[in-house]
Amino acid sequence: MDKKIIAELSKIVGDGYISTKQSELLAYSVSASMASNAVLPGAVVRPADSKQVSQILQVAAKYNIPVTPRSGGSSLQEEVIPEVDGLVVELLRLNDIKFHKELRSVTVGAGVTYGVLEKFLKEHNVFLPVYPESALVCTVAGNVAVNGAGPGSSLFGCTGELVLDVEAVLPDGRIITTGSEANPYASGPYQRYSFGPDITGLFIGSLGSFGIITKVSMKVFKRHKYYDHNTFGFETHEQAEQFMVDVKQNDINGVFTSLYEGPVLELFMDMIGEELGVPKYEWPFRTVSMTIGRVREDLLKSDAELAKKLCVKHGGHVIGISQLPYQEWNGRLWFFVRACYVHGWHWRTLYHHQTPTNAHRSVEEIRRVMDKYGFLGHTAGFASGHSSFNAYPHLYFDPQDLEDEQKIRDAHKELAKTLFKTGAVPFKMAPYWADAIEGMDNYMTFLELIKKTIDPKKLMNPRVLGGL
Amino acid sequence: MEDGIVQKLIEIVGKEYVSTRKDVLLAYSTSASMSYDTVLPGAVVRPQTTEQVSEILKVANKHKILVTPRSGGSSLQGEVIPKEDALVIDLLRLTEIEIYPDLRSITVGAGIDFGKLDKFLNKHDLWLPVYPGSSLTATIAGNVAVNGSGFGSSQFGCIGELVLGLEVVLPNGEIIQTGSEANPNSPGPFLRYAFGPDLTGLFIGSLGVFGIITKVSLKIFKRMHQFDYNTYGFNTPQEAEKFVIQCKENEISTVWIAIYEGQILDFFLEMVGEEYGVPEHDWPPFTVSMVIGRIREDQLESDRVEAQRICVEEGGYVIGISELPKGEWDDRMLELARSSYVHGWHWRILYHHQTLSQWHKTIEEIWPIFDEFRVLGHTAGFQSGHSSYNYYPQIFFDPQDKEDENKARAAHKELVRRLFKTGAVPFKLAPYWVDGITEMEPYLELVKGLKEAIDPNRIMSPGVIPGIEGEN
Repeated sequence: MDKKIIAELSKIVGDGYISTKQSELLAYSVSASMASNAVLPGAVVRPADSKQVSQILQVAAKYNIPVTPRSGGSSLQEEVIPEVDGLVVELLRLNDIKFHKELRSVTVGAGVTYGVLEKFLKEHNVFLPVYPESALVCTVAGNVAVNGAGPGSSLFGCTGELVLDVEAVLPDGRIITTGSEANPYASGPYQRYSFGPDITGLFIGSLGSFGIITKVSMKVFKRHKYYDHNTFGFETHEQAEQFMVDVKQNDINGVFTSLYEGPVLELFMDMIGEELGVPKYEWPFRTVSMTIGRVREDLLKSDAELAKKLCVKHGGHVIGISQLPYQEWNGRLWFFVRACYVHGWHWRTLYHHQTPTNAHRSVEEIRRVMDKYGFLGHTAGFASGHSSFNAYPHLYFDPQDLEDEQKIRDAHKELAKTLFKTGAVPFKMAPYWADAIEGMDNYMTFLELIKKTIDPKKLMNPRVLGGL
Repeated sequence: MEDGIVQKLIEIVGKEYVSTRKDVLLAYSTSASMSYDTVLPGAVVRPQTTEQVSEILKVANKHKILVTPRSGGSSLQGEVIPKEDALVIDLLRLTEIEIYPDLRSITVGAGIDFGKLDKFLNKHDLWLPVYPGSSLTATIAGNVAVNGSGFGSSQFGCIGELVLGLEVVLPNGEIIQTGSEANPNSPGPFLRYAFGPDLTGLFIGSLGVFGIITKVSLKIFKRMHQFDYNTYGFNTPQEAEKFVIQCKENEISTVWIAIYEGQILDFFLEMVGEEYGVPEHDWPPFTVSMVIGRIREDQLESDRVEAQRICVEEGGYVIGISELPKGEWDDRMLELARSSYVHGWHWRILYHHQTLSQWHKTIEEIWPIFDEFRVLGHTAGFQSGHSSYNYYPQIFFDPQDKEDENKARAAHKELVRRLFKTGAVPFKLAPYWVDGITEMEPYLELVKGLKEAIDPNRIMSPGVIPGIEGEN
């Protein structure tokens, strides 16, 4: 990158917080995304506050430098892979936390991870009850930008539903705050739907393409004190799926409700069953693993009893093994990451959402692609809101074997297409989804118009949203 | 309006559904908004389908005709008052309802009102659990456009939080679908946050400035049949506020919470107390009227006991009069509209949101303004989501007395300024809010930029968000 530009950036953040050293840039050329090509940026800059971010974006705009914002780097779908000779704006120094007790909300800087926040909120007996799979390194702001979900979503929805507002630096350097805090006199975040239209939504799932989120304000809740963990077995997918719908419909507080196909659960248990202390069991065709959480004990007991009744009503049987849901919930800050890495393979993931009653369609499509391409993989998922189901297929490959990796890339691409045809949707327009969608021309044209309006120079994270 | 244009509109919807007759246009020159000047449009058109709406907007866009979309006409802040000689698009013929039981969702055309939908959902033992004050005439699409709230919002939030996706006709006539249904293979609406960024939000509270909402998809829920109605007394506003926060925090399923100041409650009960059968009572300085709703009886009993415990813990006492909250809740489709009109006055309203912990700040601003401007009025409201409180102050005036009406308008204008400084916010950028707002320039510039890009000819809903319309 041009020395003059580096000098201008140094002036903003100080010499200690900018680097063009190859050894450091290497760390920013990749992320947790596997099977994606590394790209070396031209510089990385580490601002301390929103004002510095604003000044940096003004410099980037002046010299037409593509910008990739980055925080935890734990995203799995190439969201933070930079552009060649582009600028990475690393946000981990924005680590303020402000708790608004009476507003039942918290405001965090873009550098605050779920792990750090969880520790903080615990002292106040509240929680932000959605934990992405990589909660120990993943930042809240990053998760808003990718519109994630995780344990807790079965009750509280995806991260987007908990957002009260964002502070964002627009590509031209203007700083805006959305929601009730758009009013500079507001005592804090308390209502997202203020000063309508809802501008907050534009940044949820935006992957940084409209600017850099520097702060997010989230709803927080009193921590659940009482939990019930149980497993429920079914012989058909309809039974299991209808059970999941009915759990929601009857106001059972399932905070994490996972659905496993028999062979997939066997595979998981082979990997980590013993370590988790899950007893040997001949798992049925479908298993629902559910954690119910409540702030009061009598409500919990009522939910737990009703869940058993509904299970039987739908033709299932109560398995009674609690260790699996217990471990899923208690390990919610790391359980999935561990389960994903413990087997030693590399993998590509293909997050998507189905309706609960269509969950089996994802399983069918994944099996079909696995057979066709001849690779190992699996899928499981969890209830992720009012009536959606978040599936996270894994496609394994050997990173030493380029042919194997290419096979996985091809299979992945095809899978996105066939899943789209089943009615599945992604949380956000990750690069490969743009290829998979069909019949959404008006939507994409409109999205492009918004992009052009907010980021006319197309500098902000240009690779996402299908490169609009 | 030019004959050529009217002819084109007739070609689209048929002769029956276009009118330029003055007596018909008169009905579209006004709305439930009081103290707003009427404006006669040039024509009204009543499309039956989304495609017709699209064709109409193509004509309007080509000829730069100003367009005001309208459905129930029950909005109170001038949202559907048209421009002179402009076009009103009445959406009441878009009356489709499609239910998706497994997806726990529903899609309704822009002409479906809350009353009709409630009747429909009731048969399935389901509901859309937010009822605006004018439910019998307000359409769901209209309520999304104004981002309303109402009975049920204490538990379920404002209407925006229930939206799963929208079908919208953009000013150039393009039709877009947001949310999971953006996927044409989708079995129905099941997730708003699909294909991020979230474009649905742009139209929530948009007052039609970015296009016309033709269909709305929403979350629906199993209907509650277990209710507890009670009143709780407090000596200070802070105690009442804390009680409400603690009820929320402790997962009590409150579908309706109103905090009443003593003198306002007296005034309110003078109007409807006898009818609701509310017994005479020496009401405390602050009363919380609360309805707890649950699907299951044991949950309700648990909530009831917990609410009483919290009440006492916060320094209050359980009044035990159930007729007030029961009257309010049972009348939820019409109560607020009725109680607003029953006294016979005209009034201006100033919807806004306050934090729960600052509930008292609005009250503190309102009484001095009434004194200064020598107007009559009151304010009531209800708890409206995670931690907000929806206020609806009313300033009364005599419509025959111009001076009195001007006083009400002036008081209204000043009240916005002072409420803004307390940290209050509106649901949407209604015209009078734009005047009261300071230090929000970058935000307004962004909205203005979006408006210019989406509606370059500035045909959509002119005047409803004046600050973003740019120069002519």
